[in-house]
Amino acid sequence: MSTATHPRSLVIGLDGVPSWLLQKLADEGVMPHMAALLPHGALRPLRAPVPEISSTSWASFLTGADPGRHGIYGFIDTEPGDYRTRFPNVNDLAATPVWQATAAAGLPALVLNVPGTYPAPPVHGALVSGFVAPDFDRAVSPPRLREALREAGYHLDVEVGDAANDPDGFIDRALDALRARRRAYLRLLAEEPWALALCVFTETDRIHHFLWRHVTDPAAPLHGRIMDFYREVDEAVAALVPFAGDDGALTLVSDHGFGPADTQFYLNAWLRQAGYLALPADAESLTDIDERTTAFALDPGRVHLNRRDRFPRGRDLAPGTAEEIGRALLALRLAEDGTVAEGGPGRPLVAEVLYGPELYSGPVADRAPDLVAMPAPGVQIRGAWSSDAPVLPGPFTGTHTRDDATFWSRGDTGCGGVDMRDVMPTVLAGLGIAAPPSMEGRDMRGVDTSAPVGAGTERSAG
Amino acid sequence: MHQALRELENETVHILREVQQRFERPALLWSMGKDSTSLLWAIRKAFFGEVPFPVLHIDTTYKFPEMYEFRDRITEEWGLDLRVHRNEEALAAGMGPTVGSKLDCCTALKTNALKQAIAAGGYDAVIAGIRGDEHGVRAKERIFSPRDASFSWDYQDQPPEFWDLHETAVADDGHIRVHPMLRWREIDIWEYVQAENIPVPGLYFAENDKRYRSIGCACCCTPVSSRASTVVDVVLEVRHARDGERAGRAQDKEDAASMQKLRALGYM
Repeated sequence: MSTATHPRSLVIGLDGVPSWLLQKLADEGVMPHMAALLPHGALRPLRAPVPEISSTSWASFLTGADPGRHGIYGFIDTEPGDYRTRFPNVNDLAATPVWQATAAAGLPALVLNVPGTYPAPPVHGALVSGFVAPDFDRAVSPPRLREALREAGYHLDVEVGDAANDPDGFIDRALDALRARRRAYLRLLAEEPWALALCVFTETDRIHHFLWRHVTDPAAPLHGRIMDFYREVDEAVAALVPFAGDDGALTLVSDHGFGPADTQFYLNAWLRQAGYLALPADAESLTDIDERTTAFALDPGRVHLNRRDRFPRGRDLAPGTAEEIGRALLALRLAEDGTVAEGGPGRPLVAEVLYGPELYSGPVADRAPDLVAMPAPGVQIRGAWSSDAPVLPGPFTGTHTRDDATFWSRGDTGCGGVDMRDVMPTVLAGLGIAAPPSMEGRDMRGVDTSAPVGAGTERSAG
Repeated sequence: MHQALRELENETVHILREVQQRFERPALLWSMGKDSTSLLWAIRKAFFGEVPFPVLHIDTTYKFPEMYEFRDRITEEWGLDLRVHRNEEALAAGMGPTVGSKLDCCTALKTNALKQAIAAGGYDAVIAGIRGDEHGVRAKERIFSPRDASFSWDYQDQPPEFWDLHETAVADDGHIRVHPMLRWREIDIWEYVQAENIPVPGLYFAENDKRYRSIGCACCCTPVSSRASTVVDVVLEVRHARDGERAGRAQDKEDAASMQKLRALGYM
């Protein structure tokens, strides 16, 4: 199939941008190009998989599947049958990623800065790995593109530095990274052959983590600078759009939404305090877990039971242990004085508890967490095992949300919510390519989903 | 000795005899490590029990005590013409690993000491036991590798070594580095040590679950976790863990970088 005659599909990713924020910035004149673009399609809220973090959600994007099929449950996971932790990467994807589907159709794909694509695999087309990508040389496939990226001043990720004390410096670095990405994308889109291009900007997510308050509060001191940042995001998107051509497909997508956070909840510290986790607070790894442990957590709120059939120092646990922990989590209250207690005064830390066996299905569902704590508004749940205080202050003013991510497709006449699993089948349908069998989602163009996506498929405890 | 090892040894012997034929004043660099000691062994086989070149030890004075004992014992047993060179000037000035950077220390006590030794001895070929698999840049080395008067090595301008044709001509003011074991890998050395029962310093064997994979100055060597306390154990360990261990070190570095990123963004 010739790429010269084949229609193109361009997907622009905006990491961590909620759909309502995009609409708001378009309406307010901060993103004029977006304002001009959005009426040509439907801006729909997108629901992220659980947990609602970049590695898991972008893996669902790439594979059109939930974690029970693609196997990426978080940024960190344990080795099978062991407490040793590792960083799952692109080689751990258990479902077919989109570049295999395009290659099977003879079409080259450009996959640029999609989180969770490290180390860069050989692809028909080109791939530049996104977060977490520790080594530049292993993040670029084919290697000949390194030079072009270097010339563009391309960074794999923004150096966060001391964002809390020097937010201006941090914004400068985010702008640098954004501009370099724009330069690199423009060059690769122009020079490399492609039928499908996935171009993700991650600076938005980084800004939101540290400066969310300044995004949403017009009175916040850095609000003006953040709006300027969004003006550049708008310019960058507008610069890429023409590459889709007039008849090509154009899609905007984000992996999760964002909301305010003022509380950092260290789940392992609470599990330790509640007697569920027997691991010293100064432990450098989970391998020091002893046989009295009932449960431990991985980022952000995934709780694994220390079951005998799964871990070397596992226990025989009574039926209902997961539910017992789930109920306790839902009953947690953070008091004014910073203490955390079950049923105490104050605000909840956990909004909802989801149970692995009901949440996940598929060939790798056996690696799923037993339960996942979903944060209450204002709370960021963290997976560190080396904290002994359940709640500590942090430099973050924003955290991920699940139900208000972004999906927009040019020409779409549908309405209502979309699931991340649906995005890639929709994109492939636009290219006239059959979705691989492991893709669970469906083509959502023109589809009206009045009921919330996924309703009735999950149980919340309490 | 298995066939592949015998071929490596044959090549090394061929190169050493070539050096003996073509150069007037060759010398061998000996660090007492497993590679250059294996090379000494091959030299003795090539020249029927003799070592027909001076043996240079560039002594930083910071080597492990076991290495000095080993040097003196082997020198006597094998009848070596040992010539110890130190950069006395730098040592007198107090140069050491805690003064300035480690690179400064290496430059003064190793590189400059070697320059002085070569100048003093008037050597036209210096034989060294480096292996191509030790480090990325060493894979670019040639078996016969010219150095100019300023000691520099231009890896982009080297004579080609097609088949077994070695370019041994040397500019008047330069010398040639000869690497007869360039094609050997770490596992080949250990299999050779095992097959020929070559003596090596005890630092290579595990004590309290630690052993040294490479030895040099005591201050700059870190032992690895290992229970390999005999040559057989080491051969097994290197054979099975060679790639894994090297990959593991790179992986540790990547994992630390990843963890730092996740902490910075509040996931951990």
